[in-house]
Amino acid sequence: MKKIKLTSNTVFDVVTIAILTIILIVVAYPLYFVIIASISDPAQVSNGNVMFYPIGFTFDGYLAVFKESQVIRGFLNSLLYTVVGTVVNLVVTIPAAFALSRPNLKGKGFIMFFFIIPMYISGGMIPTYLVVRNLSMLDTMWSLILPGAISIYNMIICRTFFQSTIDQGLVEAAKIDGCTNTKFFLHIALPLSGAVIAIMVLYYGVGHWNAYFNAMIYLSDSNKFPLQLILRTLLTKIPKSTEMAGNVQEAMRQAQVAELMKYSLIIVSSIPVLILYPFIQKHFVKGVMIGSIKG
Amino acid sequence: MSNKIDSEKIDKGSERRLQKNTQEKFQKFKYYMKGNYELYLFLVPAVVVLILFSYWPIYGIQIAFRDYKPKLGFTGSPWVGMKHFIRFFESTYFWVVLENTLKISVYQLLAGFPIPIIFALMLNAMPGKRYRKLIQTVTYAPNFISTVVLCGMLILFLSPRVGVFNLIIEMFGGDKVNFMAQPEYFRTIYVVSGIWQSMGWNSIIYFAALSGISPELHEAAIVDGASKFKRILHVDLPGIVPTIVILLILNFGSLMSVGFEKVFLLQNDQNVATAETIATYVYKMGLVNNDTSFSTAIGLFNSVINLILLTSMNYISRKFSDNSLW
Amino acid sequence: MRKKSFTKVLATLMAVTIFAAGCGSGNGGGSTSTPASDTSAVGTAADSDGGTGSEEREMEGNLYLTGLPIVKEKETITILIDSTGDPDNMELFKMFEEQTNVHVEWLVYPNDIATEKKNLMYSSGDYPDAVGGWLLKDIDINQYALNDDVFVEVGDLIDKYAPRITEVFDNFPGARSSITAPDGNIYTIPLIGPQAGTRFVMHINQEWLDTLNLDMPKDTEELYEVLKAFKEKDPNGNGKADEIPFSTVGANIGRIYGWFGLPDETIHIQMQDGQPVFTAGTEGFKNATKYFARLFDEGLLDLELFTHDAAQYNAKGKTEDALYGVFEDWSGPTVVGTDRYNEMYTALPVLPSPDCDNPTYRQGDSWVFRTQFAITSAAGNPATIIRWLDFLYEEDNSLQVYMGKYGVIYDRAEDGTITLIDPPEGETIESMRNLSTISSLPLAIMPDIYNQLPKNVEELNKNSIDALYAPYIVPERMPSYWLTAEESDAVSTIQTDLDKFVKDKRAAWITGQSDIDAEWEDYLAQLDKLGLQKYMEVYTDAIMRSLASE
Repeated sequence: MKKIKLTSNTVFDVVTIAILTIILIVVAYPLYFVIIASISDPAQVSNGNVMFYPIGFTFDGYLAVFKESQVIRGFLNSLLYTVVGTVVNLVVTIPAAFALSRPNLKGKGFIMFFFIIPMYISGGMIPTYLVVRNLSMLDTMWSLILPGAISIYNMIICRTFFQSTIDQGLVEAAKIDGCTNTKFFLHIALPLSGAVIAIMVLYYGVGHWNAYFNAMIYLSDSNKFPLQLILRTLLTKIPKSTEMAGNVQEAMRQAQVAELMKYSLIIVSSIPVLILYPFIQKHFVKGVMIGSIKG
Repeated sequence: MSNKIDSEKIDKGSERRLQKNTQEKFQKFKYYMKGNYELYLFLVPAVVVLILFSYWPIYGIQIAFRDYKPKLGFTGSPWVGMKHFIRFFESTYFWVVLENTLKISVYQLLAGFPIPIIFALMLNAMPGKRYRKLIQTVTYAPNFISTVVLCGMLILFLSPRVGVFNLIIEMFGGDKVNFMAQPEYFRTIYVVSGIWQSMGWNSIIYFAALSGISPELHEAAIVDGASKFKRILHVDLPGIVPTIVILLILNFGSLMSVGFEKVFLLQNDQNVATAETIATYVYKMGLVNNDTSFSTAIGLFNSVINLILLTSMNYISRKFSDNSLW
Repeated sequence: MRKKSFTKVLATLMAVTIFAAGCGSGNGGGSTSTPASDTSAVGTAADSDGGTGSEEREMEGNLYLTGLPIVKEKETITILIDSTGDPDNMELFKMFEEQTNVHVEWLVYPNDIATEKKNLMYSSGDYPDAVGGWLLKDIDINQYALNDDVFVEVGDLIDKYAPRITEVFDNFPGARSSITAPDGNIYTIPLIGPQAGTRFVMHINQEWLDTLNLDMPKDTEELYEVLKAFKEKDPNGNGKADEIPFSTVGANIGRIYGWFGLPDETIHIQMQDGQPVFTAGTEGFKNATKYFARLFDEGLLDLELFTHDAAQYNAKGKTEDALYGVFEDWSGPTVVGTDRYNEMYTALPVLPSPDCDNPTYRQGDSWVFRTQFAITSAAGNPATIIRWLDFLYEEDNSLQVYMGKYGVIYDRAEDGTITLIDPPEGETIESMRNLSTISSLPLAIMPDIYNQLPKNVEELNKNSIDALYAPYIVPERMPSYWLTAEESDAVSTIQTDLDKFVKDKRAAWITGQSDIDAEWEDYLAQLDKLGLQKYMEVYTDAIMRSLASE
C-alpha cells in the first residue's frame, strides 16, 4: 500500500517540478533579455542579435538614468510616499474588511453595495481634481495618498480572507469572556492575519511605487515627483520640436538613448520591490489557525 | 355583551403584543449596537474617503449628457441628452470595436483566469521550498515590466526576420510567419503575453489563501490514503473556492475595460481589423477634436455595462453558492 | 487633523505666492501716444547700456512704451511651457531679465506632463499668465479663446505695443493671416523659423548601383529593375540574399505616392487646379498601390514594413552588412548612421511613372507655427507680456532664443557676421542648445538672416536634398487653414473613419491580402458611405476661406 502511494506522489512531484521548470524558463528568458538588453547597443538589440549575451556592451543607459540628480530625489520621494501611503491604506482597509466580514453586521449588504459602486462609476479626472483642489491638497503628498486610500478590490480580498479564517463563532466565544470587537480584532484577528496583511502591504506598496498619474496631475513642484514620474519623463526626453535641420541628428541620438534607457529603467525601478518580496513571502506561512472551535 | 368585551380584550391584547414586539425589537437593536458599534467605527475612515474622493466627484458624470465647456462649469453647460451616446452607437466602427473589445476580454478571462489558480496549486504542492521561492520571485517579476517595453519586446520576438519565435519555427523546418501582420493572431498575442506578465502576480492571492487552509485537513486526508493529487482536488481547491468565486465576479465586472496602451502599441495597419478597441478608437477621435463630454460618455457606457455584468454574476453566484460580493 | 491644517496653510501660502507673482502691477489706462518707430536701438545683446529709466520715455503706469527696461518696477510673468531644460539656470534668461526688468516664473515640465496640466487648468480656472511652447493647438484656441475667454485677444496689443512683431508680420507673407483665428481675431504669437523645403524623402544605395553597374533610375520602371538587381545580385557581397531592396515605415507609405500623382498624407487632401482633392480616391492612388503591391509580391518591399516599429526600422539600417537599398528618412543619417550615409547613400530623385509625367512631393513645413504662445485672462499685465515678446522678436534675441546665448553655439562679431562654435567634447550642438535655451518660445528668424547663418553639415546635406526636390514640390500650396470648433466637431468621426479605412485597405492591397482592381469600385462607394462628401465640404470651406484671406 505504502509503496503505491509513494509512487503516485513521486510521479506527481516529478511532473509538477517539470512543468514548473518549463514555466520558469519560459518566463525567465524575457526577463534575462531585459537585463542583457539594458547593457547592449540598442541597434544590436533591435536587430535581434542580442539573444543570450549582451552585444555592444554599454552602460550608457544606466548613466543616462543616474545622471539625473532628480532620480535620487525621486527615489526618496517614492520611498516616503510608499511607506506613509501603505500605512494609511492598511489603517483604512483592514478594519473595514473585518467589519464587513462579520455575518452579523446589520446593513452589510447595503454597505457592500455602497463600496462597490465607485469601482465602476467614476466622476472622471476633472471633478476629482477639483475636489482635491478644494481640499487644498494640491501639490502635497496627501493628494497622492488620500484619494486612493482604499482600493475596494483589495478590501474585498481582505474581507474574503477574514470570512474564511475568522469564524464568527470565535468572536462569540470571545465575547462571552468579555472581549469587545475591538479587542478581538486587535489581539486575536490581526495576529492570525499575517498572510493577508502581507498581501495588502505588497499590493498597496507596489501600487504606490509604480504610481505616476496622480503625481503628474496634482504635483507642480518637481522636487516632489516620485520616481516613476521622473523615469517616464526621461523616456520622453526627445524634444518635440520641429524637425529643423540639425535637430534630427539629436532627435535620433535621443531616440536611441531612450531605446537604451527603456530597459535600464525597468531594472532600476523594480529592483527595490523584488528585493522586498522575500520578506513578505515569510508571512505566507501555512496553517495559522489556532484552536479552531470545530468539533 | 360578552363578545364585545372579549373582542376589546383581544384588540388590547394584540396592541400590547405589538407594542411589546416593537419594544423587543428596539431592545434587541440597542443590545446589538452596544455590542457591535465598534464595527461601524471600523468602517468610518473608508466611508469618509469614498464619499470625499469617489462619490463627491460623481456629479461630474453629468457632462456625459451635456456639452461641457469649462467656462460654463458642470451645471451651466448645455444639456444634450444622449447626443454623445448616439454619436458613438451610430459610428461606422461601433460594432467592430465593441466586438473586438469583448472578444479580447472574454478570451482573456477564459484563458487567463484559471492559469494563476493552477499555478498556485502546483506551487503549493511542490516539494523544495527554496526552489519554490526562486520560481515565485522569477514569475512575479514580469509584472513590473512596463507596457512599452513589453510591446517592444513582443514586436522584436515576433519579427519574421530576426525574432526568436520564427527562429525556433525554422529550426523545426517550418516557414516564417509575420505574426504581427495577421489579424487572427492579435488576440492570442495580446492574451498570452498578458498571462506571461501577470500569472505569477495573480497567483499570490491564491497562494496566500492556500496557506490559510488548516493543515489538519491535509493530515486527515493523508490518513485516509489520498495522494497529493487527490488532496489538491479535495482539500486545496475547495479551500480556496471563496477566493476564486469573488475574483471571478470581480473579473466579470471589468470585461469592457480593455486597457488602451497595450492595444495601441501592438496595433498596426495590417492587424487593425481585430486590434481596434473602444479605447483606441475613441482616442483617435479625440485627436481631431478634444471632447471631454464625449469621452466621459463612452466611459459611462463602459461602466454601466461592467456594472450590469458584475451584478448578474453576483446574483448567479449567490444563487448557486454561498459566496457573493453582496 | 493637525496635518491637514498645516497643509492647508502651506497650500494657501503657495497659492498666494503664485497669485501675487502673477499679478504684476497693471498698466494704467493713461496716455495713448504711439510708440517711437525707431526700433534699431532696442535691446541688442552687445548693448550694455540698457538704461535704468533715467531717460525720458513715455510710460503707461509702470510700463515704458519703448526701449529698455520694459518696466520701471520689476514685474513677473508666469509662463506654462513644455521643455526638458532648466530655464532658471540659463544665462540667456538671466541676461534678458536684467535688460528688461521682467522676471519670468517658469512653470516648465516635459511635454506630456505640461499637457495634462494645461488641460486641468482649463477646468480648474487656475491659469498662469501665459501658455507657450508646443502645448497649444488650433483646438485650444477654438475652444478656449473664441467663446470661452481663457485666452485673450492680442491683435490690438500688438498694434499698440509691439513694433517689431508688426514689422515681422508685414515682411513675412502669410504670417498674419495664418495666425488669425476664424473669428477674425488674433490670439496667439507665432514662432517663425526656418524649415526645410522637404520633409521625408527617399534615399538610394549609390554604392550598390556602382557595384552592379547600374545608372540612377529615372522612373519607376527603372527603379523596379534596380530593386530586382539589388535582390538577386547580392550587392553587399556577403553571399546571402539578405538585401532589403526597398523599405519604409508602412503607415507612411503614402508619402511616396506623389510619384504617381499626388502625395497621400495626413488628411489625404492636396490642392489641384485650385480645388482641394481627396488623394486617397484618385487614379494616382490606385496606380501607386498597384505598384507597391507588385513590389511586395516579388519580395522587393520590406516584409515587415507595416509591422516593424521605429526602433527596428532604424536598426536595420545599421547592420554590419548594409541591408537597405532604398529607404525613407528626413535626411538619411537617422536610419543608417552618418558615416554609412556619407559613404554609400544619396538622395533618390523624384520619379515619374508610366501614367504620370510630373510627379510631386509634399512641401516642407510652413515657417509659421502659429499657436506658440497665448496670454490668458488671468494675466494682470498683458501689455508688459507683449512688449516682452516684442523684445524676443528682435533679431539678436530671436537668434539667441533659437540657439542659445552668443558664445555657446553662435557668435556674432561687431560687424554682424555670425560664426559657428564647435561644441565641447562629449556634447553636440543640440545638447548644448537644450542646456542654453528654450527654443520653443516665440521668435522670428527672417529668411535674410537665416541665409547668413553658418550651416552645419546636416543642414547643408538637407539643403542639397531640398534643391534636388524643389522642382517637384506640389505646385499648389496647401494654405494654413484653420477649422472652427463646429467644423472640427462635424468631421472628427468621419476623419477617423476615413483614415482608418484608407490605411486598412491600402495595407491589405499592398500585402496582397486582397486585390485592388476587384475592390476599387466598392472602395470608392464605401468612402462615400463613411462621409467623404461632408468631409470634403468642411475642408474645402476652411481651405478656401484661408486662401481668400492671404
